[in-house]
Amino acid sequence: MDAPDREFVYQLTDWQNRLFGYLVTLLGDLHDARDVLQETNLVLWQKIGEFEPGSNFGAWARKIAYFQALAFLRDRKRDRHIFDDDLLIRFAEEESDTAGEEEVALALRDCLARLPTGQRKLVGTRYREGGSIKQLARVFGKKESAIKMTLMRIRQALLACIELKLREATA
Amino acid sequence: MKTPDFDRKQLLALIADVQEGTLDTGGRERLNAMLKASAAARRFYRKHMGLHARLHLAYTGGALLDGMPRARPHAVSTARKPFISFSRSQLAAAAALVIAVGGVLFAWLRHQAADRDFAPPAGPASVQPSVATFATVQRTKATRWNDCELPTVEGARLSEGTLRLAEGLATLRFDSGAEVTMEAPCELTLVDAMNCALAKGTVVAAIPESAQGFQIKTPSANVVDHGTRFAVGVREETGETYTQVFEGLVEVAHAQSGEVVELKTGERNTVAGDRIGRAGEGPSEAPWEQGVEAIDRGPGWTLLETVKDAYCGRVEGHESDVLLYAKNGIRSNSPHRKSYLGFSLAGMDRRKVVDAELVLHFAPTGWGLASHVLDATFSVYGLTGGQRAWNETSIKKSPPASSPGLGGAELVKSQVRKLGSFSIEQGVQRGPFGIQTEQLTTFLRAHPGPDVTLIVVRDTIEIEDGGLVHGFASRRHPTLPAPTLAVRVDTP
Repeated sequence: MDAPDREFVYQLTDWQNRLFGYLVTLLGDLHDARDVLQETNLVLWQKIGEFEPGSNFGAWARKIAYFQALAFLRDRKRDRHIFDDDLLIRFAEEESDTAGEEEVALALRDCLARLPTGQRKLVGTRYREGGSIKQLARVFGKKESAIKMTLMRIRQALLACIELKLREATA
Repeated sequence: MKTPDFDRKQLLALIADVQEGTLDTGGRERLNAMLKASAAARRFYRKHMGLHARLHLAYTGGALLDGMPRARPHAVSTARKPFISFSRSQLAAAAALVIAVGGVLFAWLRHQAADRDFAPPAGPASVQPSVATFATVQRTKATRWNDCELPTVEGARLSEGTLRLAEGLATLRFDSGAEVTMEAPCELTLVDAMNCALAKGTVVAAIPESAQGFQIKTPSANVVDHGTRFAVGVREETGETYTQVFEGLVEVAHAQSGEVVELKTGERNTVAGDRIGRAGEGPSEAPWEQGVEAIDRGPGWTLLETVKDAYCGRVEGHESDVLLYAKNGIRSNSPHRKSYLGFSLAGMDRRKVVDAELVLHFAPTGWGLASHVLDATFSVYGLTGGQRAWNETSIKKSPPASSPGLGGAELVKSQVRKLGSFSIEQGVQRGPFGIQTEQLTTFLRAHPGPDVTLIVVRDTIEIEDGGLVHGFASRRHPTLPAPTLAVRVDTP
């Protein structure tokens, strides 16, 4: 692999999590975001000739991901869009948070480990198995509203924990 | 602290709706309005969705594909390089390459993303040469391994070789996309990304389109997948092969004659000796391996073993004389089981009972798939006084505090008292479990007569049909202790 190609692959790899997060923000759905990320990767790969090593890969990749998301939304019924076009543009224009990728990943791992066992099992089942609220309610023997509320609180706790850890790391 | 210019609670609830796919039209309008009105609200939303995405990636790592570099080189020049250009023919070749490797690249990239989340920071940066591996240990649950030729920690890359799982569950992801879960006890030989051989035990396979044609060889059969989810089990002593299809299509070929039987969704068959069974829709709890071990309990208590025990909810051909079953099926007409334990406290001054513990020795029943039952909670109930008497025969037809209309773990509430619960991790099928609660002590102390009945039910419902039937030793078990009530009486 030539050096420019190699840098392209590393940049693309480095940006996978952030591109995925960006697409989840735009589309709201994890599986849609995965599909669009796959398309985005293909387009980026096809446009490798336009990539200039040392240039802002992230901005370029986000732009392509944005247009891929628009193309995806064009093909589906409008009533299934979460955001209108105006809001999508705002999300595209605004920079996401700048915390380091590695730091956030490590903080998340630590914070997940600190969750009480029951909560860790719930969040694991939710994200590993991709279970719906209805399925989770049946499996855990709780009401759907209780499962939804618990997941919401777990995510809040994780965010607070991650922020604290990142603050500690930079203090 | 700055007060946010949006209703945080309302936005949290709307974000939860987005994340769980329950956002309705009204919610969508409210969410759009809130996010348009406030940059802080948009930041808040982005942060929550970012975590949602990270959690998804953290729990669903993809396969690492060989032949791709695994780490960043020492130094990547940031100086501008000449613009790269391609000729038309190069572009055509690149396009073909993109189509061919697109999925592979994506899977690899996904893994890299997941790998980075959970692996320690990379060591000295270098581009490592590829190794001859084709599968990854994706998940393990309560595992104990025996004499393995391959690494067994989560994330380990696997080459050709044999894995022997003594306890628990282990999920392997082949680079073809095939996902195979080993259920202990199990011996599986990995051949390549599309082939493996099962010598004993059970595997549950989920095969995506990319791995159609994935094969599992057994001593008596060759099971070829055509895009599906299915389970294969092998009895070590006889080499018999049991195949059960949950979804899709599978071909089962007799190893000697080559005769083929196609199994569709919901069908199963058996290959034994020179006979290959037809596709059928028999009971969905395939008969898998069985084994038992004895575990002693410490001294210091009066130990009472059951004087009678039995379970209700039988399935023709699935009975056990030595084990008592507990199962909570996914459908109302699933073969649910509840176990009844009769103890005699005759001769004991029950009013002076100060502590009590129920101990049950679990062992594999050999029925159903552990993959289909997550961590399981069991509850123990006491049958209140004045209920109808039962014996080990009558219970099959008229179990106390139960009726055909009641679901898997349900009992007639007015006739029972809940005494406690215990949990068993997914994949664990052996060991002593039970309760030691104040409610149990109080129940024994207050019970009107010396004959006490405890009922054990599994609260946890299987996540899919054909789930594991849990079982514990009855008083007829040849090696394991009977259900035991350990009672401590206050002595002056």
